[in-house]
Amino acid sequence: MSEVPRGLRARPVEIATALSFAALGGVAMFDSARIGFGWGFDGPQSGTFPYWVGALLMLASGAVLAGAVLRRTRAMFATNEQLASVARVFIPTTLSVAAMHLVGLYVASAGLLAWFMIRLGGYSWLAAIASAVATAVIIFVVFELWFFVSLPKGPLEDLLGY
Amino acid sequence: MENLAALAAGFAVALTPSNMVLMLVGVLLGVVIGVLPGLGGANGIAILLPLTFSMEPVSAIIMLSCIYWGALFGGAITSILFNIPGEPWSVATTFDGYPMAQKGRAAEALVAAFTSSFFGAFVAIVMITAIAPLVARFALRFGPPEFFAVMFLSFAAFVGQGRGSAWKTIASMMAGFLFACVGLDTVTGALRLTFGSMELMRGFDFLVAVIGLFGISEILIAVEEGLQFEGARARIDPGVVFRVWKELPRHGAIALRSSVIGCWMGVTPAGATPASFMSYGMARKLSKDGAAFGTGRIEGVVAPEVANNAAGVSALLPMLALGVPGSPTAAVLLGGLIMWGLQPGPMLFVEQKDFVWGLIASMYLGNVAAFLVVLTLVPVFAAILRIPFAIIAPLILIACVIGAYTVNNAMFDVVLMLVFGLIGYVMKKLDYPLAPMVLALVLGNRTEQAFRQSLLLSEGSLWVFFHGWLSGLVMTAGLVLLAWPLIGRLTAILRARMA
Repeated sequence: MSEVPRGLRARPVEIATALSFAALGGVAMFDSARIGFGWGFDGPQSGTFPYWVGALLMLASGAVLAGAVLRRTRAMFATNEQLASVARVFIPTTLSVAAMHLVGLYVASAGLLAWFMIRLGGYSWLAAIASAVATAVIIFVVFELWFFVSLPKGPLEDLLGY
Repeated sequence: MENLAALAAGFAVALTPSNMVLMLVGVLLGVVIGVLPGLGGANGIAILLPLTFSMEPVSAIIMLSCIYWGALFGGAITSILFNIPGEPWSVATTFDGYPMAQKGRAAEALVAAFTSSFFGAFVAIVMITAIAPLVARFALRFGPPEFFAVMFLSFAAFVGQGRGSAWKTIASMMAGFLFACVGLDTVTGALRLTFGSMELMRGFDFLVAVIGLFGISEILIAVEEGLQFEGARARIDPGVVFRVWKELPRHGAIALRSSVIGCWMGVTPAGATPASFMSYGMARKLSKDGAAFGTGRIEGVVAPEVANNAAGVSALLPMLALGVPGSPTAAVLLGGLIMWGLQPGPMLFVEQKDFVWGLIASMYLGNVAAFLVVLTLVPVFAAILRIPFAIIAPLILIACVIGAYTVNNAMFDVVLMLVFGLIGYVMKKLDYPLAPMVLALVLGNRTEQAFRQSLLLSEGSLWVFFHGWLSGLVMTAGLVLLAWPLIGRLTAILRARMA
């Protein structure tokens, strides 16, 4: 018997996704009912369209849900190994976006690139930091100087006089 | 004749030196985007859109549409050499393209793919030149019920021609419509689905959603599949080109059939991806030795490549003539039109002749340019995939972040993009189609507006959509398409009973 890889099965994810969509539809119907989904004095009320769209969403996700509940499969959503790889990319990206509020886009982007190169690419610190700084400078030249698009900046840029 | 004169004027617009340079830049960027996983036509253009605000609209659309043509051509390179489809619409190209490369016939496969792409694109452009003005003139008489009917048909086509579960298609679409509703209702001033959040008042910008859904999620999928890009090497020399060109006319019937499939699927927004699968399947079914497909048959490259380019290009026809885009990428271009201050729809052909015909002329030139660029520069583009993932992935992620930020200069949008990235990842893994969600997000407001205005005309009766013969016809066609999966299942059951 071959070894089955451990991981997340497709069925619970399928069910959870269908439930989330159904919940979204329900929330939409609820909110639309609040602002009215009938016939106002000036035509259909604001909630009319989202109300029925929400209803259709609940119907469709209900059908998907029923299918997922009834059909028992052992299909995988992703193995643990795959999930770990996804997390290795997604978590640093999220942290870098969070850091952007504080240090601006340039420093956060440079940090993200350096992190990837060192942790996932096995590059030396020197190479990683040099590439990161170069990337930040190129972004600055292209966006701020060529296209006059201002990107979020932090204390470092203040220090440099920008 | 009138069209040809307008087209000549369009060439005059497109052939200025600065527009030619933009065309070339667009094509080069497009091929790079097409080669890289995580960057595709839709999100690549979405990221670059904010940079075009200061340009002339016609120059901007020429550059952005050329990115699209480049991406349509570029998708084939990685499919054939690396067995990694750079774009979803080149998945079917891997079936026979990669086996050909493994047998050492990579160059032949590439030449066949590029030539077929060019053929498909060319057929579609000729069709647009001939038909788009007629459609637009016809559509000038459309009222709200007709517009709603056309949009209904577009969305029904997703259900009827989609490949996966019809319910998932509907769920994805309805979620898109709901996302479009978030924010201020411009008709009544009511706040919808914002739950007191200031940030949600602006609503979801679909560009942000596109960058997350197609960009971030694509990277996550690529990561998951492991990052070893092992590929065949290829250089294309003139000898191979002429040998393949001598062979290709034998597959003319397949090419013609595939371009018809592609044009049809592109105009109805089923899109390039199903078109390429359908025409591959058709070529296999109708071939005398269909069993040999998948082992490296050149027809297996021709069929999907003709179809996906024909579909990709003809997706611009409804966008230009009706303001209803035929693909996510066309939807992003439509978003561009609105940002440059143009009103999409049939009036475009009346009020913005230079813009429309300049764009159509640039389609001819851009596709010739893309064809020449990919033929000569294949080794360069293939080398891009040899850049280690640890460098290319963060660069793509940074591009996505900058793209999402610059849409509205809002940090909240960057967070939203990450959320859409996760949503897109889960949806892709579970086979929810993303295109209906994006198109619903783009067209949601106008669909709703057409719906409301129609109901106002009829004082609330839904029969308004069946009053005029035209809207009635289109609505009926939409209903048939909507019921298509059901009809298919019923006939299958009946056939099983009979047997």
